[in-house]
Order: sequence, then C-alpha cells, then structure tokens
Amino acid sequence: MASRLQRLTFPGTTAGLAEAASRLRSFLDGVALAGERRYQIELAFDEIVSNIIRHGQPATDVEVVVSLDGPEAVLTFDDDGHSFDPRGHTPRPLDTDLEHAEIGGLGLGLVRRFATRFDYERTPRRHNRVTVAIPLS
Amino acid sequence: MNMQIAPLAERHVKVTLAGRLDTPGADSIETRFLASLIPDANNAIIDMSQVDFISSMGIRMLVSAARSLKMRQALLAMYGVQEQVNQVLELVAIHQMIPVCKTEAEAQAAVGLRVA
Repeated sequence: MASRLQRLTFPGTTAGLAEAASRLRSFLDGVALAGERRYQIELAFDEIVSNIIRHGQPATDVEVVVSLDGPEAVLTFDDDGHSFDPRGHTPRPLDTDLEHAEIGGLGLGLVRRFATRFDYERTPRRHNRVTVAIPLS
Repeated sequence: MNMQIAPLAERHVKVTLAGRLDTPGADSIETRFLASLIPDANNAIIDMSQVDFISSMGIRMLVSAARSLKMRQALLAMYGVQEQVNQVLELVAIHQMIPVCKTEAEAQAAVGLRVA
C-alpha cells in the first residue's frame, strides 16, 4: 500500500516550487487521489508556497509535509524566511469592474474558501509554519 | 506551459494555452503573453480547453491582460474552460470581468469578430 505521507523539501524559488509540485502530483497519483479534493490540495500547495516565495524572503528552504491519514488532508508548510503570518491577510472583496480591478491578492482567499483549518505559528527554530486542512470526503 | 498565438483578423488573435496555469506556468509565459497582446492592442480569444489547472497567479495574468486591453479599447474573452478550472474562476467571479464562453464562435463574437 502506498504511503499516505509525503515530505517535500525544496528551495524557496519558482523553480523549486515547480519541481516540488511535480513530486506532489506523483504522490497523489500513487494514492489514487483525484477530482475536486486533489485539485484543492494542489491549489493550496501552489498558493501557500507562492506566498512564501513572494512575501517570506529571504526564505532559503521550504519543507512541506502532506498527510492523508484521516478524514482530512493536512498540509504543513515550514520556511525559514522573515516572520509572516498569512492569517493577517484579509480576503479582499471580489472585483466586478475590470477597469478598476486589483491585480493579485486572491490566492489566500481561495484557500480559505475550502480549508477547514488555516493556522500559523512561529516555531522555536524561528521558522514560519502554516497548517492547512482540507476535507477528503 | 505551452502557448501558441495565431492571427484571426486585423487586431484579432487566438491564443491557445496548454498545461498548468499555476505559479510556475504563469511565470513561464506571462511576459510573452502580455507582449503579444498589449502593445498592439490585439483583441484576443483564449482557448482554455487544454488548461487543466489554474491558480491565482494564472488568474492574475488573465485579469492583467484583460484590464490593459480594455484601457486600449480592446477585448479579451476565453472559451472551452475545463470544469474544475471553471469552478476556481467562479470562486473569484472572473465571469463578471471577462467573458467566459462555451465555444470559439461565442468568444469571437464577444471580442467583436464577425463569425462567418
């Protein structure tokens, strides 16, 4: 039986994200997870890591643990960049007027739409740790 | 992420995207995508039928292009969006800013191109 736990360590760069996302997809293939829940896991992964890359600099390394044991997928993101609590980001109202639309700032709001848990802590190792839970059923 | 651009008529182009429009995917094509549309104010239809994933960075690229085109009196519409990608687009209400059409003919009409 395929392991339902995956640990991914990679540089906090777009290239690092691309390579890690590929490994995440292989892991999800291995546990035969498809459909909407899989999309949400991949989306949370892209949004949180992208946020670390853009706002958490100088993050040199990112470690993500994906656990599918239990009724929820639990994704834990660790990075060694500046302290950054993404819960302080208030999802902004959606734009309806293209001419005055804000560009960007939608990612964390998207994750919050389907995550049942979105936690942040600054660890004793002075790392940022974001934990996201997504129901599997 | 792959991108192909084909002229349809004067100041009208069709852009075919294929792959994952996530952070790395958007990063890999955004400069070329915007450069192919904005300076010449090309009205654009985007074939999304081969895009199987989109995240906020992909949405950002599309909204950025549509907004810049609108400022130049040009339009952008997309069509053929896959179901799960469409669900994400609906979550951010992109349909209120950019026409999301079912067919290429509808997208052409949305950007003012007369369908033969």
